[in-house]
Order: sequence, then C-alpha cells, then structure tokens
Amino acid sequence: MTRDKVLIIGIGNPYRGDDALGCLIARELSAKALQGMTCIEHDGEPASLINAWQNAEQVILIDAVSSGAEPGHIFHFDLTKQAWPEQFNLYSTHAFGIPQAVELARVLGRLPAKIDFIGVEGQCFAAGESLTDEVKKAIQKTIVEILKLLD
Amino acid sequence: MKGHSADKNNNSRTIKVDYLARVEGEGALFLKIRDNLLEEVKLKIFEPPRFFEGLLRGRQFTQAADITSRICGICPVAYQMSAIHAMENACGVQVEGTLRELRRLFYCGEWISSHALHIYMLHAPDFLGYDSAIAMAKDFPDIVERGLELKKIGNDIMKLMGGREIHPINARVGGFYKVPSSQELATLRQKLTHAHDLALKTVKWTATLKFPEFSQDYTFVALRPPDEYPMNEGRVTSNKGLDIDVSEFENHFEEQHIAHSNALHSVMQPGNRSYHVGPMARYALNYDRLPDDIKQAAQAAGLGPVCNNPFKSIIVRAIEVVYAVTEALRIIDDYSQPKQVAVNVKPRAATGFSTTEAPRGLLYHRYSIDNQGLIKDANIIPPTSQNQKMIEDDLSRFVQSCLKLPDNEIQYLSEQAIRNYDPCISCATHFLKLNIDRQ
Repeated sequence: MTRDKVLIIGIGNPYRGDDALGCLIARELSAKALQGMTCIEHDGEPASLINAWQNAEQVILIDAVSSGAEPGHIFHFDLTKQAWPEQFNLYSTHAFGIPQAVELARVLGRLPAKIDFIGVEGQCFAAGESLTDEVKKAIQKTIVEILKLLD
Repeated sequence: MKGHSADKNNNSRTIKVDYLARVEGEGALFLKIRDNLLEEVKLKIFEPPRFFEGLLRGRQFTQAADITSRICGICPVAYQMSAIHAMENACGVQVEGTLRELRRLFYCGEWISSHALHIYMLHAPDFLGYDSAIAMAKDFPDIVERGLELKKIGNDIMKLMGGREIHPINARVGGFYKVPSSQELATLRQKLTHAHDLALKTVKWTATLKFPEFSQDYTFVALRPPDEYPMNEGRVTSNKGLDIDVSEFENHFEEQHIAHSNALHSVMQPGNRSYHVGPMARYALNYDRLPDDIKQAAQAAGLGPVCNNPFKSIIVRAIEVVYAVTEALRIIDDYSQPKQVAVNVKPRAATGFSTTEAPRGLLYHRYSIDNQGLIKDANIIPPTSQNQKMIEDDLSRFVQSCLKLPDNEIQYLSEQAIRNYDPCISCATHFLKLNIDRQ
C-alpha cells in the first residue's frame, strides 16, 4: 500500500451551512493537484477517521468550529504536540467524535507522525448549502495557513 | 462529564452535572430524595424538537427515506428502512427475494456498527470505572482496538450498501439504486469471517464484567417475524400477550406530552404503562429464532432465554452482534446479483405503516400519501421516546436501592443505568444534566 505523504481531511456536512467549510477547502486543495498531497472529504465518523489516516505521514484536519469566537477566526492546533483543546471538546454523534478519535488514536499509538487541526469559526450551521460571508472570506486565508504547514 | 458541583446544606444535598457524557443529545436527570426515599425521577430532554414530521408534509413519498435518515447519524439505516417499508405498505408492494435479503444485510451493518460503538466506547467504561473509552484504552488497548475493528466492519457494510457510512443514500422505495457485485460481497465476506471471531470474543469479554444486582418484570415489546430474528418486519408482540399488526400500533401505544421533557413519552395503553424496547426485548421475544451456536454462546455467557437485568444488556448487544455477523455471512453466501435493483412502486392514496428494529429498539413510521405520492401526514415514534418512561421506572427502583451510597456514586450508577438503553436523545428530539435534590 502506498503512503500518502500529506493527507488533507476536510470534515463537515455540505448541507449544514458553514459546516461545509472543511469539504469545500478539501475540494479546492484537491483541484490544485499538489504532488504528494491527497485530499478527502470526511463526515467525521471516528473509527473510519482513524483508518483514513493510517498510511499518512502528515495529516491536516480541517473543520468548522463553534467556540464563540468571531466568525471566520482561524484556529490552528499542532495535535502532535498538544492534546485536543478542552474548549473544542464538544460532543458529537453518541459523544464519540473527532476529538475522541484523535485522542483515542494517540493512546493507541495510531496518530500520524505529524497532525494539525485547522478550525474556522462558523456562524450558521442551519440546513442549507450556502456559507455565511465571514466564513466564505476565510477560505482563502485558511488555504494559505494550510499550505504553510506543508513546508 | 463536565461541570460537576456539589452543595451541602444541612439536610439537603444537591448535585449538578452539566451533562451526561456518552449519551447522544441534550437532557438532564432530576432525582428528588426526601428522608432517604426517592420521591421523584425525571429524565428531562431539553433539546428542542426538530419537527421532522411537519417537514415531510408536501414532499414526495420517495423522499422520506433520505429526509428521515438525517434524524440520526447512528441509525440512519433504521430510518430509511422504516420509511421505505411504510411507503411500500401504503402502495401495496411487498419487496421479496434478494432485494429483501440485501435490506437485511444493510441492517446487519448498522447493528454491528452501532452495537460495537455502544459496547466498547460508551458502556464498557462504566463497568470498568473509567470516564471514557480514551482512559480505558490506556489500560485495555487491545480491547478498544477490537471495538474499533468491529465497528469498522459494520461501517464497511453500511458503506457498500448505502453508498457511504453516515447518512446513506442508496436505499429507495422498491429496492436500491445500485446493488453490490458478488466480488464486492466476497471482499466483505473475508472481513466478516474475522468479525465473527471478534464478536464471539466480545460476548465472552462482556460476560466477565461485574453487574449490579437489579432486575425488573419488564413488558418487552419487539417485532416477531414468522421465521427469523427481527430486523425489517414482523408482528408487534410483547411478553405479556400483545400480538398485533403494525397498522394497529397507535391503538395500543400513545405518545404523550410530558411537562419536563421536549421528547414525547410513548406509553402502552391501557394504563399509561412503561414498556421496554431494544436488544433485551428482541432477545426475550425471539430467543427461539437464534441459531443454536449463538444460543450456546449466550448460555456460556450466563444468559437464559430472557434477561431481566438491564445492566446485562451489554451482553445481549454482544449476542446480537454475533447474530448480525452470522446473518450477513449467510446472506452473502446465498447471494446472486439480481437483474433488477428495484421494483416499480406506484403511489396511491393510502396510509402506510412500518416498524423496524433499530439497534436501540422499535422505530415506528406512519405516512399518509395522496394519488400523486405527496405526503399528507407523517408520524415517527423513535425507540428512545418509547424507552424514556422505562428508564425513569428503572431509575426509580434502582436508585432507591442505593440511596445509602454517596451522591457521586449514585450519579455514576444512574448514568450507567441510563446507558443500559443506549438512548439516542437526538432521535427522541438530545445531553444530560444530573440534579440530585436530597433532603
């Protein structure tokens, strides 16, 4: 099995407003067809998330977050060096979501050698396919942040 | 669990917990204790209702499966199956043969995935004294890995049959949009052979857990088909003599508004009685439908034909995982790719009914449609609405038996007792706050 040098995982639900952000960024980065980079969209199911990155050297997780910050604010956490921040430890489907997948993989020795999380503060997570202006504006800035991590 | 605080003031004690972890959705538990007697138990669900039934009105009968599957990320197959069967019932169509078998295979995937998640990641930490599966994984990495592996194989079935793992999109009224090739199922078969071994180990391991001594004379309600363990169809039966067609469901079960909860309470009539749906109910009412080797595995794990200790539901779930894996293997072995992926279903003005067995219990759907196939009316009763009163009844008796324990232990055991039901509060409307008022 070939290894993904860099795996971009855009997490989200394309039909829940700003939650589509991760998927949209994965699509944009995929269109750039950068060598050594694989981009996937993911619904955040934890068991398959841990499997998704098992052959990657570097992983960047991208997801919209809801922390109370200004909409469009970009967060970056180096998950290789730090645990999932408590303030983002919100609960997902049956209280077993992305934070649990990351921390469980850490305990089980199944985290990639390098893994970062890029979160963008969303504003509206209601049903619908359109992003809010603030989050739309943050897409290109977020892509720049991601590309910086690839150096 | 977050935000725990305790106040002591003379005779009264109050414990507040921001929410109960490892349960889907938002809710709270209120326990009122006076003079060492438990006076009141309220399981409050305060996540707002989502009005799915209203949203379905005016939509095409073919859309209900994909819309209702959005109600839950854990049991979308159940929603799809109940919606599809109800629409076919309205239109006078019965899907048989390989397409019926494939629906059953699809459901096996959801049972394996959902049960493995609950057994290993949500419920087992209670029995072993951990706050979470992450903490448990530090001491029991191989066991947690086994849970992840099993869940993944369930997900693989859902992905193959549903097009993707969460919110599948491949099932439709009349059948599927695409059916798997024999080669695709052969690949799945290899994984399932391994899953069978993992599932049997799961049964043996759950049997080694320490269970609180507690049992109830439950009214179990589950489907009972003529000749198989229930998933997609069957008569609605109970261990107390109920035996009805699904179209009679609302004559015997009634959803009621309760002031302390945003979720409707479903009760059995007459007498507004609580009843128990889910793995223990299915097992009790369909034990004779299990293959002999699975019955033997259950016996070796200490289960009789009926299990009345809700804490042992973790073993029953493990037995159902073995069954789902065994059934999936049988379906794959008998499979011949059908030429037709779906039968034609023409709408007619009628009302259709269906209950299927979601991992956590009966899921009832009723739809009225017109000649054009537009949905005029919908009613959905999820398993957690049906179990909510039963959970309160369990807590009323169970907590009374352990009132001498300190509040933090009562809290821990109450949460464990709630998780016996793998409640999906999202489906019922959604997180739990525990409040013990003791004087």
